[in-house]
Amino acid sequence: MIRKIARKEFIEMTRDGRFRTVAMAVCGLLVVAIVLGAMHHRREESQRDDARRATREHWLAQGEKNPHAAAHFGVFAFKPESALSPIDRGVNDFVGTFVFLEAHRQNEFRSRPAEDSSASGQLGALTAAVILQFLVPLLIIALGFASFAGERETGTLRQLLSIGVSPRKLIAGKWFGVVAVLAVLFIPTTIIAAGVLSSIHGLDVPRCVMLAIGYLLYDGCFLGLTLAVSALASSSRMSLLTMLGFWVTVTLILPRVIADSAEIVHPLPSLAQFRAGIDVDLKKGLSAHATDSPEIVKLRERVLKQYGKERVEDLPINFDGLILQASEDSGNAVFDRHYRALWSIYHDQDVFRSRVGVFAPASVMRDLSMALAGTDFEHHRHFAEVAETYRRGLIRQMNHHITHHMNGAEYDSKAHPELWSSVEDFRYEPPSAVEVFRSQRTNFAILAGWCIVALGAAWIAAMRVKP
Amino acid sequence: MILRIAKHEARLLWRDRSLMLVVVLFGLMCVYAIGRGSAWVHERRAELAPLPDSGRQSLHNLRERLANDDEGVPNPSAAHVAGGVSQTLIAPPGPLAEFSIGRADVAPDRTEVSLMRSAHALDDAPTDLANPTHLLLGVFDLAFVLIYLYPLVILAVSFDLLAGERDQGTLALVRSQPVALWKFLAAKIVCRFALLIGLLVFIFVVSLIKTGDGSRSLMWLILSITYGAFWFSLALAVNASDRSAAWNAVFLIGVWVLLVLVAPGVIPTLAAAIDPTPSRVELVTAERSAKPDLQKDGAERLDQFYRDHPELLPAEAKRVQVVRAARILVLQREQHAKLQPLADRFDEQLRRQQAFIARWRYLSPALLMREVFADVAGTGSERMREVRRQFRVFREEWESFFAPHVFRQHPMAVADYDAMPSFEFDEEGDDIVAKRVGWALLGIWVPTLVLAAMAMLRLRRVG
Repeated sequence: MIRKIARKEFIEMTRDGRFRTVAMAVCGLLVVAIVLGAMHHRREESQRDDARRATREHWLAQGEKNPHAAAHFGVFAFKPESALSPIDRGVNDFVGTFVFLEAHRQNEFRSRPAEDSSASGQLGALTAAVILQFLVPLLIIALGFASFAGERETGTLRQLLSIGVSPRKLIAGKWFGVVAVLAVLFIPTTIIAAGVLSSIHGLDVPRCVMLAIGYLLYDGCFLGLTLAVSALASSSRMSLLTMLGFWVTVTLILPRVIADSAEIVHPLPSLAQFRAGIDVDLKKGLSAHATDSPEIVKLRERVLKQYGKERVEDLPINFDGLILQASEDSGNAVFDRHYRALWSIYHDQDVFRSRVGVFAPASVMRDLSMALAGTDFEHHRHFAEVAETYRRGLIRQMNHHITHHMNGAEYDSKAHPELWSSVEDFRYEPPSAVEVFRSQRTNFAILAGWCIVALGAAWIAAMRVKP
Repeated sequence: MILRIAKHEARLLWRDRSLMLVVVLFGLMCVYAIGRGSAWVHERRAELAPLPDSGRQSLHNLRERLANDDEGVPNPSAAHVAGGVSQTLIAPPGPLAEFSIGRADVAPDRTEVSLMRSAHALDDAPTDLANPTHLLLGVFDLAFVLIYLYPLVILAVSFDLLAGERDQGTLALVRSQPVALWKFLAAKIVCRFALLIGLLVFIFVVSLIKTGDGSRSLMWLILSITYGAFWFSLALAVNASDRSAAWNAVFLIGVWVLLVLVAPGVIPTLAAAIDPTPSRVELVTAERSAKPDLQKDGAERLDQFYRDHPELLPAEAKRVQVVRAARILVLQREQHAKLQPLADRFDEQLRRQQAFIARWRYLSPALLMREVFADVAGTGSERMREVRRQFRVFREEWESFFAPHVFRQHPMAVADYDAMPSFEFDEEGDDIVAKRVGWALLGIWVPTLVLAAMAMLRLRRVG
C-alpha cells in the first residue's frame, strides 16, 4: 500500500510541467553554482600559488643582510582556499586572504574580497550553500503543502480513508513519494558535484559525508513540518501560507535577529579601542631600545651570572640578540592577550547563535555548513594561529643567529644567505574532519532534534487527519 | 464608484484580523530595522569622530614649538617631520545610512595619510571590527525589510483579490453590478496600497526628523512606493489571469523567489565569472617586487632626480646633501609609477564588473532597489568609490604641499603650518544621486505599467 501511494505521489509530481521546470531549474542552478565556485577556487589558488612562490623567492634573494633587517623584511602568508569552498564560501569574503609576518608585530589580515564588491553582496553570490539552504526547502514546501490538504479539497482523502487505508500507511507513502522525487533530483546532482570537486582537489570524503548528512537532516525537518501542516491545515492555501511564513521567519528573519542579539549580549570593542589597547600594552612592555629598563638590567645580570663574566663585552654571545628576543616575547604576550580576548568574543557570539539557534534551524545549518566546508571563522582563526606561530619561529631563528653567530662588536655585520634558506617555507594543514565534527556536535544534535520532532509531528498529525 | 468600493473595502480590511496582523508585524519590523540601523550609525559616528584628533594635535604641538623657536627633536621646521605626522582621514556614514547599511560595514571608512607612507597603502584602509559571520548574514536594516519582506506583505494581501471573491461566492454578485471588473480590482488595490503607503510616509517623517535630509528621504520614499507599485501590479496581472487562489499564491511566490532571491544572486555571480574580481594578492606581490632598496638605490636616484629638476635644488647647499626623507620621497614616486599600471588595471577590472551589474540589474527590481537604496543612503558602491577617490586626492595634495620643502630643504614657517591642507569628506550632491535614481525609477515603472496594462486588457476581455 505504501508503495502504491508513494508511486502515485511520485507520478503526480513528476507529471506536473510547472514542477518539472522549477525542479530542473533548482538542480541546474546548483550545478552551475558549483562549477562557478570551482572556477573561482582554481583562479584564486593559482594566484595565491604564484604569490607564495614570489614571497619565498623574495625571502631567499635578500642577499647579505643583518638578520634583524631580514626579520623586518618579513614574508607573507597566504591562506589556502578550502577544498569545499565551491559549496560554501562562508566568511571567506569577509576575512582577509593574507597576512604580513614581520618582527615585533602580529599584523591584521589584509585584502577582504567584500571590500571590492558592490552593494550586491548582501545575500552574497548564488552559491551552492544558498541554494541548499534557501531554495531546496522552498522546493520541499512546494512538493508537500498539498499532499493532505489538496486531497481533502478534491474529496479523495475521504475516499481513501473510507476504503480503510490506515493513516500510518498514508503518511509513509506520501513521505516516500516526496523523498523519491528529491532523490531522483539530487542523487545525480550530488554525483556531478562530487566529480567537479574531486577535479580541483582530492575529495575530502568524511567532510562531504557530514555535509550531506547535515543537509539531509535540515531537509528532513522541512519535509516533516510541511506534511504535518498539510495534514492539519483547513485548506491547501492555509497550508502553503503557514509553511511560507515559517520559511521566511526561519531563513530570512531569525538568523539576522539572532546575530543582532549576539552582538548586543557580547559586544565587540571598536577597532580603534582594540588597536589602542595593544599599543598601550606594547609601550608598557619591554622595548629593545630602552637598554636601561629594569627588565633588561635583570636579564643582563642573569646572563652575566650564567656565564660568570663581569662585562657584557666579555660574553661569548651577542647580548643584543637576547634583548631582541626578550622584547619579542614581551610583545607576543601582549598580542596573545588581546587577540585571544577578541576571538573569544567572536566565539561567545557564535556559541550564542548556536544556542538560540535551537529555534532557527537555518541559522544552525549555515554555521554547520560553513564549518564543514572549512570556511567558517574558526578555520580562519586556525590559519591565523598557525601563521603567527610560524612568524614567531622565524623571528626567533633570526634572533638566535644574532645571539650565537654574530659578534657583538660588529652589530652591523651581515648574515650569509644560507640563513634565509635554513628557514623552512610556510606550510598549512587545515584541521581534520574529526576535530570539526567535535566542534559541531551541538549543531548536529540540534538539526537531528528538529528533524525528529518534525517527522514525529507529521506522524502524529497524520494519525489525527480528518477527512 | 471606485471611491465607494474603496470605502467598503477599507471597512472590510479593518475588520480582517489576519490581514491587519500582517501589516502590524510589517510595521514592527520596520521600526526594529530603523532602530537597529540608527544604533549602528550612532556607534560608528562615535567611533570615527575622535580619530583625526591625535594627528591634528601632533601638528598643533609642532606648530607651537616652532612659534616658540624650540628647535628640538623632532625638528618642527623640517618639512618631512610635519608631513610625516600621520593624519587620519575619515568618511562618516552616509546621509541615510540608518536605512541601508549596505556594504558600509565592510567598506573602508578611514585611512592614514603621511608623507612617508606610500600612496598604495591607502587601499589597505580598515573598517571596524565585526564578527565575519554576521557580516555574511547582513544587517536587519530597513532596506532588507523593504526589499525582501515588503513584497511578501503585498503579495499576502493581494494574491486572492478575485479568487477570494469567487470562493466566497460574491464574485457573481459583483459582476452583476454596473461596474467594470478592473475598477473593482483597482479599488481593492488602492485600499491596500494606501495602507502601506501610510506606513512608508510615517517612516519618511521619522527619518526627516532624525536626519534632516529632506531630498534624500524623499527619494527613498518615492523609490519605496515605486517598488510597491511593481509588486501590486504583478499581483493584479496574476489575479487577472482568473485562476484559483492557491495557483496565484504558488505562482507569485515563484516570481518572488526568482526576482528577489535568485536573480540578485545570479547577476553578480555571472559578473564575477565573466570579469573576475581582481585580486589584491597579485597587487601586493607586485608592490614588494617594485619596492626599491632605500640604502642601495636611494642616493643614486635622488641625484638623478635633482638633475631632472634643477629648480628644486636646495639654494644654499652647493653639493647636495642627501637626506633620508628626500630619498624616500623619490623612491616612493618611482614605486608608485611602477605600480600605477597594475593598480589602474585593478580599478578597471572592478569598474567593468560593476558596470556589468549596473547593466543587468534592471532584470531584477530587487537587485535594482538594493543598489539604489544603498546609493541614496550613501552606502553604495558609488560612494565607496568616491571615498577612495577623495582619500587619494588628499594624499596627492598632502605630498605636493610638502615635497618642494623637502627637496629644497626649505624650513617650514608658522605660516606654512597654517596653510597645510586639511581633509573633510565632501558628500556627493543630491542632484548627482537623483540622476542615478531617475534611471532606476524608470527601470521599475516600465515593467510596472506594462504589467498593469496587461491586466487591464485581460480584465476588459473577461468582464
